[in-house]
Amino acid sequence: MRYLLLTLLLLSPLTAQGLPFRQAHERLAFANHLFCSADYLRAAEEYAALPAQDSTLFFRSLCLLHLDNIDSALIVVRQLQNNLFKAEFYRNMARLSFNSAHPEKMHSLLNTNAPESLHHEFIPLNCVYKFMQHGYAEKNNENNTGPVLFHEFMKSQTKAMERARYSPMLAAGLSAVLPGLGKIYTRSYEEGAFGFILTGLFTYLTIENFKHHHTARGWITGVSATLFYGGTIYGSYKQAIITTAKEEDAVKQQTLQFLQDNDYFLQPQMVKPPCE
Amino acid sequence: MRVRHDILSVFYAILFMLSGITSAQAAPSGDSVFVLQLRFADSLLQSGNPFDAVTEYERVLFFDKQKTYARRVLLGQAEAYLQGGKYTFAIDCMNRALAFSKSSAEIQDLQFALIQVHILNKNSSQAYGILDAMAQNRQNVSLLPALNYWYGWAKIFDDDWKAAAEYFDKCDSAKFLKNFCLDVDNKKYPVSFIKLISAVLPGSGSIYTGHYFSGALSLGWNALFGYLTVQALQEQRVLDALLIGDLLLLRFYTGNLENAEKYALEKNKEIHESALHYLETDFQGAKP
Repeated sequence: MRYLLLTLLLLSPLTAQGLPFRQAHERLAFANHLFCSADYLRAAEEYAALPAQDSTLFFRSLCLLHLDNIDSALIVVRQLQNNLFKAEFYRNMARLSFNSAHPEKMHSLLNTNAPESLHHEFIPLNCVYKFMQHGYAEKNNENNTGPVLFHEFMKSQTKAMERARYSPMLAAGLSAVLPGLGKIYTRSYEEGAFGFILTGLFTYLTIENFKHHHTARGWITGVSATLFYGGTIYGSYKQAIITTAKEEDAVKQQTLQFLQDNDYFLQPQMVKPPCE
Repeated sequence: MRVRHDILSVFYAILFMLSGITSAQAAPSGDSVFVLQLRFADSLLQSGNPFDAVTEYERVLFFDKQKTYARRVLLGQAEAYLQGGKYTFAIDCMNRALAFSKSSAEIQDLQFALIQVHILNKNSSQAYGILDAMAQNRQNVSLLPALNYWYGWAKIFDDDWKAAAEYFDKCDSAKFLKNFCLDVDNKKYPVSFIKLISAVLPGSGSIYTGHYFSGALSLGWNALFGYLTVQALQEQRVLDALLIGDLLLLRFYTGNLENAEKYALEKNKEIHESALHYLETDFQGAKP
C-alpha cells in the first residue's frame, strides 16, 4: 500500500506535465486534418501514434501509399481486419499506380496482393497499364468488363500506336538508296531535302573537280559528300527512334487524358477522412 | 505497530491527494496549454529539428480555434521551413501570417522578412513588388533608406551590381556595399565590347577573356577560310566561293562570336558568384 502510494505520488506530477493535444480523439482529428491538407508524412506519423484500429490503419496505409512507400503500406494493410477497408485500399492503390514513381512495382504488387474478388475491377486498369508499357491493349480484354467506349478507344489507340512506330533500319535503308528519303519517311521533310541537296551537290562537285584535274579539291568535296551521305543514313536511323518516341508519347498522353476525363480506371472515388 | 502503519498509510494518502491537487493546478489549462505546446515547438526548432517543429506548430494552429496564436505559430513554421531550406513554404506561412498581423509595425516587419526570403529564393520580381508597394505608401517615408537597402540586395541577386550600387548610395549606412558593388561591376567583362572586337578581329574576344588557344585557333580558321573564299572569288569560281564562304567561313565566324559571348558570360558568372560568396561568408551587416 505504502509503496503503491509512493509510486503514484512520484508519477502524478509527471503525468500532469504531459504535452497537450495528445489524447486519442485529438490526435485523430489532427491526423485527419493533416491528411486532408495532403501532408501525408506527418499524417502517417500521427495515425501511427494512435491505437491500432481499422480506420486509423487504413488511413495510415493510404498516407504511405501517397508517399510511394508501398512496402510499408502493405505491411500496415495486412493488419486490417475489415475486408471492405482492404478492398478500398487496393482500389486506391490502383488509382495511384499511374502517378507513382515506381508504377511497375506498384502494379505488380497490386496484382499479387489484392484479393481475387477485386481482380475483375482491375481488368481495365491492367489493359491501360499494358498499353502504357508495351503499346498495345490485351485482346482478351474485349470480352471482359468495362464500358464499351473504353474498349473502342483502346482499340483505336493501339492502332495509333502502331502507326507511330518507325523502323530505324528501314529509315537508314531508304536514306542509303536515296539520301534524305529516310528522313522524309520519319516526317522530317526539311532535313530530308537538305540531306538530299547537300549530298547531291558535293557529289557533283567531286565529279567536276576530278574531271578538271583539281585532285585536292576533289578529295575535299568527296570526303564532304561521303560525310553527308553517312550522316544522312545515321541521322535517319536516329530520327526514326526520336519520332517514334515522340509520337508514342503523344498517343500515351492522349490516352491518359481520355481515361482521366472519363474516370475509367475504377469507379469508387478516393476516400478521405472527415475534414474540418 | 499496526496503528503506526495505518497512520503512515493515511499520511501518504493525504500527501498523494495534495500532490494531485497541486499538480492538477500546475497542469496546463486554457491559454497555458497553447503556451506549453508552443514552447515545445520552439524547443524542437532550436534543437535543429525543423520537421517536427512544423508538426507541433501545426498542432497549435489546428486546435487554436480562435486563432489567437496564429501569427506566432505561422512565423515559427516559416522559421522552421527556412531552417530546412524550404523557401516557398516559408513564404506561404509568412503571407498567411500577414493576415493575422494587427499593427502596422508587425506588418512592416513581416514585409521586410518576406522581401529577404524572396531575394534568397531568387524570386526578385516578388521582392520588387513588395518594395514598390511599400515605397508608394506615403506613410513609409522614414523607411526609404531601408527600402533602398533591400532594393540594392535584390539587384545584387539579379546580377545588376551597378544598379545595386546606386541604391546603396542612397543609404548612409551602406557605403561599404556601394563600393563593393562598384568594384564588382568594374571587374565584370563588357559583353557587347567583346562581341564587337570579335566581329572586327575573329578570336580577339576569346583572347580578351583569357582563352588564348581557342582565340588563336578561331583566328587561324577564319583567316584560312577567308583567304580560300577570296581566292575562289578572284579565280571566278563562284560556287566554290559560296560553299567555302557559307559552310566554312560563316560557320567559324559565327562560332567565334558565340564563343566570345559565352566566355565573357562565364567569366561574369564566376565574378558574380565569388562576390556573392564573399558577402555570404564575410559580410557582417544585414543580409537576406
